[in-house]
Amino acid sequence: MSKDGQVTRAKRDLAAHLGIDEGAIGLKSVKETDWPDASLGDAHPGQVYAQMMVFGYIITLEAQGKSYVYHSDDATHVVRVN
Amino acid sequence: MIVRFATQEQARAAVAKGLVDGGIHLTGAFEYQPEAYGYVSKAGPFVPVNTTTDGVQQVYLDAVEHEAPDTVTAATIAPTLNDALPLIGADAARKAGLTGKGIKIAVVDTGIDAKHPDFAGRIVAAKDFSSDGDQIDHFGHGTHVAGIAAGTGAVSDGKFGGVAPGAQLIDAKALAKNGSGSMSGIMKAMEWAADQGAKIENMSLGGGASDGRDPLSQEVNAITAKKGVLFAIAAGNSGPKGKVSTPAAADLALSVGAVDKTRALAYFSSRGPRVKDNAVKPDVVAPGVRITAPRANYGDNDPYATYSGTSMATPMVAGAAALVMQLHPDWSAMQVKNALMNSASAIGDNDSGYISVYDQGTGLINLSNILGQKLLIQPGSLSFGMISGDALVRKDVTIANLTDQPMTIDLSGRFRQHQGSGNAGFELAKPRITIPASDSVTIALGVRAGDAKGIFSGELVASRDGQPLARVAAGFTVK
Repeated sequence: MSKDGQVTRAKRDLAAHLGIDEGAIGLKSVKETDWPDASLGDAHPGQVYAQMMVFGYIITLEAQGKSYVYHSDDATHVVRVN
Repeated sequence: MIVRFATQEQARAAVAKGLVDGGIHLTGAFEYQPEAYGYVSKAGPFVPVNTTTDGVQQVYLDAVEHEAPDTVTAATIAPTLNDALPLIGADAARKAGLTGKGIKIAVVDTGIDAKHPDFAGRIVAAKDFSSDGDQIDHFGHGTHVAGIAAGTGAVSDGKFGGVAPGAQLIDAKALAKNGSGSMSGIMKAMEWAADQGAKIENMSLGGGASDGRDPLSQEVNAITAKKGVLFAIAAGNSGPKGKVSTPAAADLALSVGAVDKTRALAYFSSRGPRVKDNAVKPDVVAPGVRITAPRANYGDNDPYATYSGTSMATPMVAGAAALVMQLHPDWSAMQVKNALMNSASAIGDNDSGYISVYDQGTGLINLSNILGQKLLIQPGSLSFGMISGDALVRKDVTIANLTDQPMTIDLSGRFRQHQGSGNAGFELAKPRITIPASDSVTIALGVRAGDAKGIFSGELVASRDGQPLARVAAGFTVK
């Protein structure tokens, strides 16, 4: 339920995605934002979303020389957008 | 996938066949329009279906299901549902004895927490169409929305009661625990809710900007036409640059933008005109900033939460529509929509701080005005589309006298530049008319491009003795 918790979730997801240890992932930046709806800025065609403003974060991680961007709310939802 | 056919029979036949063409498997047909839904097989190559299958007109991408979160938290901001209701005249309606009793409002959303005392005895039907596979509101959005429309405020001694606390609720869960859902799931929920007797369906949801011809928008039009359901739909939160989204872009939808408690347009409220044809949308606005209403997962946290969005403005309008239906039980969905539009109060200064109809429709809904409404003008907005040259483009409006006395009214209109330059012509066939008691008159409103260029916003006002009685939004674009 916090910025730190969401960064941890994002790192866990990236570690699983890349098949590496969480310790090999660096935190580049975390920015607060208000997402316009439940898509958290990652809307997909054919899908509809609750039209509620959602406070959250843009989390940028670094691993294996590449940057990975996550969008999150302030609870438990984290999505990788690149 | 959603596949549109020429006829419903063709859609059903394709479903019976189970396979339209290479790769596309249809699993069901919608009841109220000629469309079927299904999926694309990963095994099969995609073959364009309209080349080999009779009746196929278009194929749309439906959603891909994603892994979802468990919960979402709410910001803790000062409660304002009790402050918001007077802004729409709900207190006056309550004093007049209107509660929405006898009206069923469907909430097509993330579910409603039936354990919350604010909904005790109010939820008359519930079904899950989401990917969650349960009726629980994990996300908290649907519970909040339902509370704004029709919560009793039991936990707060009525303080956070909704607009229509006497209405019944239908819980049509179609958004999953991450607050999203597929178009086909939403459409199935809409049809089911209509079959349960919903007179109003609240849809605080949206996809991308639309011209109103996508399957979801067309479903709104079809169910309204065939079942008489009024859809209150969120305009979207993509403002100030983003346009009104599907399904709020539907012609027959009552599309709702948001204002804050100072009656200022919310920055996030999606704007018009509608993409491609530049039709007037949204239709009205309502309070949608920092609204406090029931929180899901009752018993484990605070009973109320505060959220912002056109999601929160929409159930204000759905609840208001329930009150109008109680007041006028013989009115159609479109009469209720147009009455809410006619009686809305324009926001923004009429001169220096003009806010166009593409931002607010006819304005902030006003139930106080509806209580004594003397006129009903239909339709509630006039979209002239793209015009050019000196030819007069006309559209008719029908003005009904709701009183038992003949009434003489003055009609006036004015257009302003939304984006563009020059002056467009505006012509009324009859600026003063007398309407017999309980009767109606149809008149033409005409516009001429002249030397104007761009997008124009305007209104038609019906007044008596200098007092405005009803308003209609109007707009056109000069090619």
